[in-house]
Amino acid sequence: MSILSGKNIVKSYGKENVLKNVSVEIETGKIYGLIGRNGAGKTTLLSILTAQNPASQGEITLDGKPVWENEESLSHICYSREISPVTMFGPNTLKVKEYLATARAFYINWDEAYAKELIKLFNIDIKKRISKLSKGMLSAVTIIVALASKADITILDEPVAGLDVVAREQFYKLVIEEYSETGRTFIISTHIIEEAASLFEKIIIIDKGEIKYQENLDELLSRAYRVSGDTDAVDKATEGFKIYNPESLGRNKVVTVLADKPVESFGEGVQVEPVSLQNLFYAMCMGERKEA
Amino acid sequence: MLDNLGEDKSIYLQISEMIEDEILRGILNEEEQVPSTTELSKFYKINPATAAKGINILVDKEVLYKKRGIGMFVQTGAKGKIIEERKKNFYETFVKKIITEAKLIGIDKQELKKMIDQSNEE
Amino acid sequence: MGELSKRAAKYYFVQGTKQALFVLAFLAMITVLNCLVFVDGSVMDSLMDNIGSSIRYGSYMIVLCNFMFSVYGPNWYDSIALSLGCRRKDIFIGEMIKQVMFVLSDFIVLIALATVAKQEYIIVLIGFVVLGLVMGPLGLIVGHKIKRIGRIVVLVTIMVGAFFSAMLSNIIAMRTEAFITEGCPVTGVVIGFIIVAAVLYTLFEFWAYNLNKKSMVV
Repeated sequence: MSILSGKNIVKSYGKENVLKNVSVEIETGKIYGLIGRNGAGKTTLLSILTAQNPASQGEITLDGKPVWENEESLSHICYSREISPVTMFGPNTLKVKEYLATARAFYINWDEAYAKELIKLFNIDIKKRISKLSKGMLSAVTIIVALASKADITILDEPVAGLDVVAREQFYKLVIEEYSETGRTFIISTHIIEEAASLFEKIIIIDKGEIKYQENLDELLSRAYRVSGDTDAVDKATEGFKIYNPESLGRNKVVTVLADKPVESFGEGVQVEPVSLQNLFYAMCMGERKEA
Repeated sequence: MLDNLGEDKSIYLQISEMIEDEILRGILNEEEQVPSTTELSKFYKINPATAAKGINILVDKEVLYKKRGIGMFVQTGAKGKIIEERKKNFYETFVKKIITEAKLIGIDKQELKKMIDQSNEE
Repeated sequence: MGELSKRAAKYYFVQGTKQALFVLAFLAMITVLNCLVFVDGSVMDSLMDNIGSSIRYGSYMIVLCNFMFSVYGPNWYDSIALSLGCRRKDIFIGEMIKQVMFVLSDFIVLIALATVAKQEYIIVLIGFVVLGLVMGPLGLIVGHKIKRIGRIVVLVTIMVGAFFSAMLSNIIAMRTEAFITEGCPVTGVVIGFIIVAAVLYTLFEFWAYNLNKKSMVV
């Protein structure tokens, strides 16, 4: 197993710190989910980890060797993100097949047969120009490049944006099939959290340029709870715990709790249910309340 | 087979429970092969490691065993083991809930017993 | 040379030749159009007459297009290469390969034409080739610098650059024609021109290299 590691990454644009002392460790052979609000720093982090963007500070290594400008490291990585239909000179008149040909030129393990299969599956007209593609087709092209690259570490930045439900399910299926067959590492950042949650073995949650959580998804969810009941009972039961997004309806109160370790019991008088990743993330975004 | 995995429990636990249910119901018989991790993960669209975790729990419980190069099979005596374990947990998992609800709506022990007798006849 | 570098070099080599083919095709089209439109006697004669001006247009295009294609590099084609895992170093070398291939391919075809058509001003062509090469890294620098600026400025820059290089080309053409009719083509001025061009080329490449080092995917 190799480790793609980013240590103490800081990225600033002028006075603004987009990433503040971020450290990540990506173990190969696993599927990672990367979630965070818009502007949290997901794309910046991913482009720094893949040396497509220089960090202001920090070290990025693959197996201990630096990634920046390093042929060996770069040949194991594919970072596929959406191609812009517009360039600064006007519409992006590059044809899909030219783009794919460029991808084929650079990715050492490119699988052309697989690419052709995927092109058919997503029904893409490769003679079309990128500026003329719909959002869904743009996403599909991104996915095709990522999968056909056969790179050991494949990173997809919001791959399902613009895809309809059928195409999305298709994508998840493709990832699982590919992962089952090859054990490639996948890092997928997405806003459609709940659909993708069952794919992730590990989860990274980033907020305002800092990594909040970086662990096994199962373990994170094993210590997340939705506690509901009478307001006083809930307050009493959840005293001392980190509480998120408290909501009240009459005398009924619901809070989301994220404990440091799994909790045996919250006592009688309250109902406790598990929380899904999406609901947990939403509650975290809504804010932590230290007082009950 | 489960159509859909719910939110309420860890996915790997749902997988292992689902397989146990099938063994109990006779859908999966002893010495029969169980779907592979890959098949399970593709069917439910879950991470293969999660599917593997579910299967491994059952291997640890000696409900399933591995035939090298072929796959996972139901252990002889698995049904018995599952029944024993579920009997042990029956009170916690089901009975307690009935009693709590009965108390809540004022059904006393006798009424409960009557209901159970009735159901036996059906 | 590692696998990735080799692939990058090959890619840019192909890009350079493709660009040359594109320009040559365009040139051929103009030539044919000109011959057919301004037929003066037989088509063959017309063709011969027009080759001279085609070579002249071709020379202008070497300068102009090398500049323009280079401007497109940092924000478009090179950015795509970068996003597909290419190293900046390889992109830098690639651009050099591409530009040289482009200029050289055009030059070879034009010189062949010039020989066939028994044109005499080969030195003019060489002057343009040298100028064309220098416009390459200059285009890269412009491409890098306009990253932060909006589209209108870009269009204006390209138009100004185009106009400027056309003007320069014309001046050189006129000046050189003047020497050739007057005497030996290899004079101190010509050598001086080449030296200045070489110095400028090196400086521009150096500058472009530094700009390229910190480039990001657009």
